Amino acid sequence: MVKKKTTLALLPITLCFSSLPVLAATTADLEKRLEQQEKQIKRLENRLKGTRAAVKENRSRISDAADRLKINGFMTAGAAVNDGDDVFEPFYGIDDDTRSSAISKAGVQMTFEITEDWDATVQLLSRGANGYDLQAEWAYLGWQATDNLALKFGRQRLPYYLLSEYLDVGYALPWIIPPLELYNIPATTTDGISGVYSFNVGSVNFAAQAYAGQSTGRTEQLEADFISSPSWGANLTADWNSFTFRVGYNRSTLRTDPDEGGVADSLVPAMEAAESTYGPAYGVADPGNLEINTDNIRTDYISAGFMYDDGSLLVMGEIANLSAETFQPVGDAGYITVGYRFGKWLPHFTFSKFQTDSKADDRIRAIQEYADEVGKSMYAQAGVAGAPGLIETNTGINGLAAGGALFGSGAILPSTACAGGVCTPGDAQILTLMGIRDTLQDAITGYSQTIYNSMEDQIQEQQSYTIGLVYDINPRVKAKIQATHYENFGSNTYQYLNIVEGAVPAGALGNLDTYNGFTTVDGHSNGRFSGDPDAAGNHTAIYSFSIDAVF
Amino acid sequence: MTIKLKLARVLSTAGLMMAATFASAEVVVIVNASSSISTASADEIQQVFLGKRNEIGGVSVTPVDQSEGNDARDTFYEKVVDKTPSQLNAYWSRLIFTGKGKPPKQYFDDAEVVETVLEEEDAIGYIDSSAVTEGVKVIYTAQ
Repeated sequence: MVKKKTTLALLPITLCFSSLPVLAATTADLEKRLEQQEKQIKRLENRLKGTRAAVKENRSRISDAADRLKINGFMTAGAAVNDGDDVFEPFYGIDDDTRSSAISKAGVQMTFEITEDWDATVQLLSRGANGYDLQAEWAYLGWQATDNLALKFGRQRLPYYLLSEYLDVGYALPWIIPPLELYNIPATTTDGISGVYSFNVGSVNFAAQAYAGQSTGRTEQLEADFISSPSWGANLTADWNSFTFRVGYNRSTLRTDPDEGGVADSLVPAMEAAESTYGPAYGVADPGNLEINTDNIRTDYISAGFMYDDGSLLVMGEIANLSAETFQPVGDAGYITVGYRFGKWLPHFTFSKFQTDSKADDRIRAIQEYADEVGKSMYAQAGVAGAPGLIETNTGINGLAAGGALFGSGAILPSTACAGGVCTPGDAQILTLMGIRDTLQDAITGYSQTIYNSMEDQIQEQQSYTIGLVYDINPRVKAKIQATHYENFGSNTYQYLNIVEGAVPAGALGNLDTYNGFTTVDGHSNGRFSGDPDAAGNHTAIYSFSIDAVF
Repeated sequence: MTIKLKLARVLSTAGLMMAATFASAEVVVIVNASSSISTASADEIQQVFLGKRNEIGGVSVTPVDQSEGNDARDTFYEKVVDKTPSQLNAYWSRLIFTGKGKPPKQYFDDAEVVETVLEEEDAIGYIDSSAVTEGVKVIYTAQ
């Protein structure tokens, strides 16, 4: 560099010296040489210009291709463990073994700009809680229709709540496990169309979003897959300084596909049988509001949320109500989080609560009462202690047998044993009948008890306290730890039939079982957990840590 | 070495250090000199660089960002946008991964930003005040 500069600096002097002999030359000669040199300079200039243009073009071509394809990604690696083995968290799969699969995940997103206004985006996510299966959370064609209106066609995350669309981007959230009381919706995506209209009013930025589509999911509580179609909704977000406010609504129509032998598969037919067959047969009036649906279930989500983040103080909260036209643990949920940033550290605290609302509870109670009434009526008519005469009359099991309603006419009692609707069976036949009656009674009571207690499980409650700490390792990586105490699973009352088995002496009409009605046992609901909350002492805790990155 | 020389050296070092301090402390927001925008508030600039608005006083603007790790960038985001690099990444990741927005295009350094602002009439960028050249207009100074 220095040498070149020296050469350049010497150039005028050299030129001066070299031009000395020129003085002696003729003017014509001089002009000719000047002309030649000027031409040479011009040629060099042109060549330089061409090279510069080519370099620039190449550079812009390279940056154009790079600009058109954007690849971003996020990941969470960590582990979570539940305090004991009496309860189990089904949504993430957190039990008393420390598992990384519960919270670890990775996502990659590719966006290709087709034109200035159209883009194609795919986001693939692999979640440990889902067996690390790769699934497309987003796969859409985006169109910036106007400066204010953006449309998306294809697969998108469902924007139920404030954070639903990026709930898997751990880097963007303070928690490792978001409040289970609110964020436990078993469907994350919808295939359809959405539009966001953005506008400013003064210094407030609004975004109005509407969408419609079809989505699929799975509910572990009912052990069933489901399709919701159509599923549509709208929300409005307002940003003002450090504040964000949001209200959202979603309505879906669900169709379930229960697992064979699962909860929904066994419970629903039992309840449907109670409503359509046994109820009418035993004269129990249908209250008309049972809504034991597995298809065309309407669900409504309504929510309101806010966030305040001034860079130091973080406060956020949401409340939501979910209703469903079937027996489901639905109701009110909400949380409030407060955090404060001390440099790279963000300690935070969250209180969260969930409870099924009176609308859902009333539906459950109606089903329970109905199942109870039907059960009692069937039991009574099948013969009870202290009324052995039922066997000999045209009611109860005898009548059923005579009428052939349940057992087939003449199958047990010869037709000669019944005349004019009154049966007079022999001892052996009575014993057979009593055996059948016992079986029937057990079935009725077991069935009534199962419905009652299964329904009782749908009345839920839960609250939790979370403390967490986030540390910024660098601008793209965070480390987090979190401890959440879950408690107050709600007092429920379970029924167990109290029967004293009677002895049946051979060859005679013996004592019948004594039906003492139901014994009630106090317990607690499952909340968002599975297992035995009573054994767990009506509380549990989940501890977790993670590393979250984004690029 | 004479005392005078030593003194001169100390003074010049101090001067350089001061110059360097001033250089990194003062970041200016610039637009093309032909733009009709003559001034902008910190709020407006913040919203433009966070993708929340695309105009200032009715004049359409396109933000021009700098590479991560540049001094001017850190100063700009800290003093004008009020976000640390971590907070900024969290902010953009919420938009990127929901298809709701993309961060402004990043240019290599002050010189490239100036070049872009000179070439594109609606470009708005930020540079160290020492890099201001003819053809660009300063509409905001962050101290």
